[in-house]
Amino acid sequence: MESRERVLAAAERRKTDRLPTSLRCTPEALTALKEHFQVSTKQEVYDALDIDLRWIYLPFKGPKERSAAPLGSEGTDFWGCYNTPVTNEFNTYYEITGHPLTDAESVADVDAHDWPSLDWWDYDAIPGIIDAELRAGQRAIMFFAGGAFETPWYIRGFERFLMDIYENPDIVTAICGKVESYYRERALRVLEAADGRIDIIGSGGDIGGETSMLLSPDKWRELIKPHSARLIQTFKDMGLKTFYHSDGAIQPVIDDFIEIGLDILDPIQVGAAGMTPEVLFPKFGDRISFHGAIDEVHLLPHATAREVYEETQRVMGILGGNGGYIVSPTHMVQGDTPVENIIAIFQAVREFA
Amino acid sequence: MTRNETIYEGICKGNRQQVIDEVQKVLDAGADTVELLNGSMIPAMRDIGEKFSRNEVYVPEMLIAARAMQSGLDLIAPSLDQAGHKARAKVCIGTVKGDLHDIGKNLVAMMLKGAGFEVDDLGVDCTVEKFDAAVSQGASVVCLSALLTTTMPYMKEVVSHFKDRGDVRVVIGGAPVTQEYAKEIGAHGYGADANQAVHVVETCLQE
Repeated sequence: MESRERVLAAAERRKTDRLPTSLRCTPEALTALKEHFQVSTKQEVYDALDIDLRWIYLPFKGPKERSAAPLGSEGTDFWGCYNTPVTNEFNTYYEITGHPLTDAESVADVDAHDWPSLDWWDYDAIPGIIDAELRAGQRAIMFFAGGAFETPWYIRGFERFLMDIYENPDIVTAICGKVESYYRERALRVLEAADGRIDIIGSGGDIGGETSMLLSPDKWRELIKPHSARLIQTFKDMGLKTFYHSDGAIQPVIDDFIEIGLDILDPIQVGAAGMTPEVLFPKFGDRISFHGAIDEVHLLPHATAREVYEETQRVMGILGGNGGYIVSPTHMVQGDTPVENIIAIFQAVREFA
Repeated sequence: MTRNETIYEGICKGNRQQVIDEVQKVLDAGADTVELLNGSMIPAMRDIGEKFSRNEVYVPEMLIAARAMQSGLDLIAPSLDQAGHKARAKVCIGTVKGDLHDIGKNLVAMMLKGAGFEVDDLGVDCTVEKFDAAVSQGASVVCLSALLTTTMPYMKEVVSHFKDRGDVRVVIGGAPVTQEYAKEIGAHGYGADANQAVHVVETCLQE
């Protein structure tokens, strides 16, 4: 069976020969995998692991002074946010330290921001990028459009944005609206360039913390959900599968995501309140599919390969009950996770009876 | 101690203007600011923190409450000084070396201020030397925060640095941090959320 069929079946909660797989890595973890497999490209690593779902990224071709990758390189990104690097023993990480709309006082100030152009992206590169992922077989392709919660607070500043929910809801709506329409229109252009070879449109933004949502379910429904819904429903209506990423404890709004047309929920942060497979599958498993759930916080960096193998199969036994599960770490694999633990996940998938 | 309901409610609801107006009014009338702080303002932040732990309020409500509290504190600060009022203790706080994620750290700092502590916010990416300098400046509790599993190990270095200092307490927290980890590295306390962090600081100062 081809990877693409496996992933699409999982999105529709149908069983196939095995559950499909997905992986995201920090550059440091990817380098370790390349060394392990003695290969030079990311695609060769993913082919060696037989990863079914492939995320594709859109190259930037806009102005140099706005060319930093959000959370990926130093400098000002296309939104106008400043990204600062910090290096620890295992990884270099980027955080947004400059928020261009931090001083905005009105919707007019939001409108006056130097918003990015949709022409700053190299859509012509998309066919070649997809070809590279398909060199060893028919994989499922996902483009991650963006999201209407996290980017807005990057632009405004976290505390400022969350206080705006009470003090300047018009500013929240204005920024979220600008960001959502940009991400939606950009994804539509990517789809056009891909000519039917993209299967899933992703969107996301962390709305959960370890113990609860970052904002109340009611405020999320009032101010954020309408934007998230447009970024999901638009693509659902086109016959594509939809994927949403949010870390943390988000169980109170899973029904809302189902209502707005979500097929696949990521990453199922199993250590957050109310997010264990045992709790989620009986409640939502007949209406939504899951992506993630192999814990990158405690399990993958610290457990033995044998423990990873067993935990992966245990989670598969719960979330994969009706086929609606794409097996993946809950986060980008960090530089502190041993290569053998990453390999153990996918070995567990292949050997699951 | 009587509670000023207007100030208490203003902080709980994050209504900064209500707090400013009422605090100014009672200041003009010659109110006892120590009683105002301990009887109305700190209880308001304590109650909002408890509601946060019970998922009855969320980060936005905590932020606006903390800002309303701060506006009131700014107004009564000169009068508190005059009355010889001292903070409960001085606490320094920062994210550890290699970690720039400061959302949780900022919340804890706000709640500590709201509980009557003097807070030395050291910011992000803090080295042992930075925490040490803050202790030299009078901090008796060191609060460490980390979001990444890859920066968490640095907490151990900070804890080890202060292990022979009987007068310094180290409290840790952050998404990947657990009670077990705190115990393993010998920290004096672990806070699972911003509200619990305040309780832990209070408790470890009594030990």
